[in-house]
Formats: sequence, structure tokens, C-alpha cells
Amino acid sequence: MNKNEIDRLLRKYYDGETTPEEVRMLLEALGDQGIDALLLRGLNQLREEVPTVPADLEQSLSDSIDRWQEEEKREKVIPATWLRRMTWAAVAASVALIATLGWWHLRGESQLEPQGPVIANNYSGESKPELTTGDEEIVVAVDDTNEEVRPQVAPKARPVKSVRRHQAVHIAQAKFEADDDPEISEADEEKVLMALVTFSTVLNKGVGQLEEASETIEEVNNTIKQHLTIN
Amino acid sequence: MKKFISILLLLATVSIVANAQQSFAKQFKGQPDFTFVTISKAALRMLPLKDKMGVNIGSVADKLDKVEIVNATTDETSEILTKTCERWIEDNGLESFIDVDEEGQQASIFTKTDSEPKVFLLLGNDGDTTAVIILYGTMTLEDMQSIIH
Repeated sequence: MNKNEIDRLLRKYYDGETTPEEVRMLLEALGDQGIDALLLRGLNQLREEVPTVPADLEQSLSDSIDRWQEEEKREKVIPATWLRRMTWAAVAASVALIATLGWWHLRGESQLEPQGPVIANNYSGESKPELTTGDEEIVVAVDDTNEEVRPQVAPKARPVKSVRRHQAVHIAQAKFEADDDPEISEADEEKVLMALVTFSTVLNKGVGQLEEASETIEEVNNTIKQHLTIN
Repeated sequence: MKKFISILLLLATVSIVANAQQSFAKQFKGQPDFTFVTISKAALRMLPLKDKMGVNIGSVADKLDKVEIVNATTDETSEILTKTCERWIEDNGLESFIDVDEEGQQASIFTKTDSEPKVFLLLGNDGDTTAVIILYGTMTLEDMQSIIH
């Protein structure tokens, strides 16, 4: 028996399609090839021990797969909801934090705004007669000597009533910013004027120096051009 | 969601930064060896700042919103005032405009003209005292120059 025939019989043998006569012929051929018949019988035994596939295996596998898919979906849904809730909580916490910071910052500014007549210190830090301010009015108190005083105000202010110590009187209707020194005096007027004059003086000096520098640069450029022309 | 949070944070930051341009002089209120003056627009209206002391401030008086002046009279306080001013200038985005140094007197002008109101700051030192003058308003540099010409 040639090799092709042996191969053909062996394939039929592995497929379980050989007849007893063909098995005998195969054993004889393999015996001629020196292959142990015992090995061949062992292969035959393995073939017989192949487990049979249950008829409902496919259905049970399909059911198992469906069950696993459902469980997976349930697991995915729960974390997403939880994550969404945590995200909204984080956003709300961020907004609350920012709002609190802003309120705290603005509160620090607004605390200086008087809600009514308050006592303001002199801007130079000296303990002079105190001057009070309000949102709508300027309030003036007297000095420690208990003498009636007339506060120094701009001529445009309304007439002032004299007052006793720690009593307030309304002298004008003006709205001041919380951080301003409410005492408008000639000294303040002079300071403002001096500030403007100083500013203008420095500005003009600086501009003057710039103009001089520009002229110098222009002269240098002209000199260089002349030299270049000559050469 | 990310876009919403980003916009929210941006708005909050902008609002906080906008409030950062606070009064410079207020920091020195009540501090020893510092004198400060802060005069608001309402107070400025009460001052007859027109053509006094031989200078013409008519073009500026109506455009001034606020004036802040801080003086330091000792070496230590002068240094503090200078450093505080430099930091305030940096925080508020002022730009250096001009520096003048004449006979031992130094003065620098910083401006911020792209804001509302405009800010003009002068930092000066005459060897003994240091002064910071900050003007807020709608005036221009030409208006300031015209005060003394």
C-alpha cells in the first residue's frame, strides 16, 4: 500500500468512517511501516472518548451570554448615575465656594461703608475732633472743649448748626465714598492742587527731556549723513 | 459640562480681578509715619479747583474722579511706600511713561489709559520724603500737561 493510500485510510480512520476491513488493511500497512498497533489502538480509544455535545448546549450558552450582558449593563448604569450626582455636587460646591469668596471679598470692602452716622478718624492719624459721615449727610461733632464749633466746610455747604459734644448735626447733603476723608478743608484743597501741579511739572520736565533727546538724536543723524556724503 | 464650568470659573475670576484695583492709599490708613489723603469725585466737586494758585486746572477739574496722595517721611517708610507702590503698579497693569531725575529729585509717572477711569500715578522722591500721587479720571496726558505750560 502506498503512502497516499495510507494517508487516505488514516483520515477516514480519524473521522470514524472506516470499515473493519479498512482498519485491518491500515493496521497491516502501518505494521509494515513499523508503527506500533498499540499506538493506533490508543488513538482509536481517544476518538471514542470524545465527549458528545449536548443537544441544548448552544441554547444554554446563548442564555448564559444574555445573562452576562444584562449584568454588565446593570453594573454600568449604577456608576454613571452616581458619577453624575457627584459631578453636580462638585459643580455646586465650586459655585458655592466662588460665591463665598466673592461675598467675603466684597464684604471686606463694604464694611467701610457707613450705615448711618459713624465716627471717622482724621486722615493724618491725629486725635482731632471727630467727624462723622453718613450715606446721605455729613455729620459733625464738637471738640473736647465742649465749645460750639463750626466745621470748616466749603462755601457751597448749607448753613451749619452749632452742636454740643457727641451730638450730631446735619450740615450738608453729599454722598461720600466710604474710604474718603470727609473733612473738606482748605488744606485738602491745597494738597489736591499741589498734586496736580507736581504731576504737571514732572510731566512737562519729562516731555522736555524727551524733546531735547530727540533733537540731539536728529543732530547726530544729520552729522553722520554729512560725513557719509563727504566720504 | 466642562464648557459650563470653565465659563463659570472665568466669570468668577474676572469679577474678583476687577475688584483687585482697590484703593492704594487705603492700605496706609492709620499707619504711623504715613500721611494719606483720599478725595472722591463728590468731594472734588465741592472744591473750587478752578484757576487757583496761578495755574489753570479748568481742563482737569471736571475730569477728575478721585485723588489719592500718600507721603512717607522716613527712610524706612519711604522704602515700604516705594515697594508697595511698585507692587500695586504691577498688580494693576500700569505702564511706565516717563522717568525724571534732576538734582537729586527722582520722579516716575505710570499710566493706565485703556481702563475706565484712567489711572495716572506719580512716584516721587526728593531725598527726604517719598510721595505717591494717584489720579483717577477721564483726563488725558495733554490735559495734565496744560496745567502748567
